[in-house]
Amino acid sequence: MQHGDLCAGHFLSYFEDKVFQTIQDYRLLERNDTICVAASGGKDSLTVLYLTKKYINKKNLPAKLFALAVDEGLKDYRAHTILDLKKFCKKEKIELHLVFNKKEFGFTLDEAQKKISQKRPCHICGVWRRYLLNKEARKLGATKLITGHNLDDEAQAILMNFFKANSSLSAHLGPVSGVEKSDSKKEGPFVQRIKPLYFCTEKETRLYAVLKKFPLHFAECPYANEGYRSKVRDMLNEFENNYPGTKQGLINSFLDLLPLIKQKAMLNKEKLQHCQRCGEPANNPICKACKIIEELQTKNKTKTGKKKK
Amino acid sequence: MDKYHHKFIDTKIANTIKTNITKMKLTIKLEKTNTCKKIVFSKKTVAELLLQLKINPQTVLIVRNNQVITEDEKLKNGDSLELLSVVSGG
Repeated sequence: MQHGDLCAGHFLSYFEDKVFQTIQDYRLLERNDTICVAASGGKDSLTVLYLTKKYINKKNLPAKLFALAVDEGLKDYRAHTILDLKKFCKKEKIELHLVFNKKEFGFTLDEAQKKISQKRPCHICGVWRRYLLNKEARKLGATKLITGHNLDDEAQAILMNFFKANSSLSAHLGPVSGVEKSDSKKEGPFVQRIKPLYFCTEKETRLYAVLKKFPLHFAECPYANEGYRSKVRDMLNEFENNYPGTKQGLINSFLDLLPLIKQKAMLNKEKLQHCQRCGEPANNPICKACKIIEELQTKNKTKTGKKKK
Repeated sequence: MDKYHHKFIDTKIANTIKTNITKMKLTIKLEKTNTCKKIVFSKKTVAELLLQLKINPQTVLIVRNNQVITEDEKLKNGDSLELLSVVSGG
């Protein structure tokens, strides 16, 4: 761990200072922000939710804060984490909003995965989750959308994008999302996403959550080991164990390169469109979320047609 | 000294080392699989235990008597440990 052998009290201060410093250094929050924290009930989201509230109180900001959770409909998983989240929000007196894949898209993630098994569940989950979080956060008046992404998540994303030559996607990484510097000031269809845990490793975050005695029960996403990400995660952990500091080094190098990556992305930036089906922002006439729904509905029709024959 | 004498001394040293290694019994609870197992451990530290269990230290926190312990911590016979998973995934 990066903190060495600190006692519990000093570790908690070290961790909190690091998060607060990230918020300040990257100007993640402004005085009058309406802050939406994307929460799942896991260690990262509970930690970031707790620390955002602590930061607002410490700085005496008039900012508003609420949590938003997406229930994808994952059997034997999400119900447990949402229960932890509800308890936490009640204790911390934080407003909680819930949205459901089933209600929004007509399918739970489990149902969608069964129907289009050639698509990786993490792809469907990611597209729908980003869509719902942005849409609901904007509807609720949020000016910032906080996610619990930590240093490990970011290091994995950087490598995945490099391995797959997705440099345009890398332009959206970093502690603050968005390609343009002025994105946060614009009132557009995207709520700006920020990552206060950007410099905290996954292990540090779990340690913080354990020491703070957050109501957490271990639950692993049933699809956690299926994605490309899990292979990159294992590889990075192996490297970190053999060469301590690997992840931090990767992040530092990436932050050095990020202005150049953003610059390149700006040159190739396509004009933002609005989905013809749902009206949400999209790169194509139909957004990715609607394309998945379309594919699922086509599968349903084909199945019903076969039955009739 | 002839070669037989050498062999006698080598065996004697080996036996002394063998008797000085204390084998301890540990109870390990794995959060990820929600399982509990008892193991025999003949080394000293948490780091050596993780090596024996083939677990990457980056992926777990080790708890003994409700306290998180570091990898250089020495273990003792009868210790009961819980291995908390760092990777929650999703």
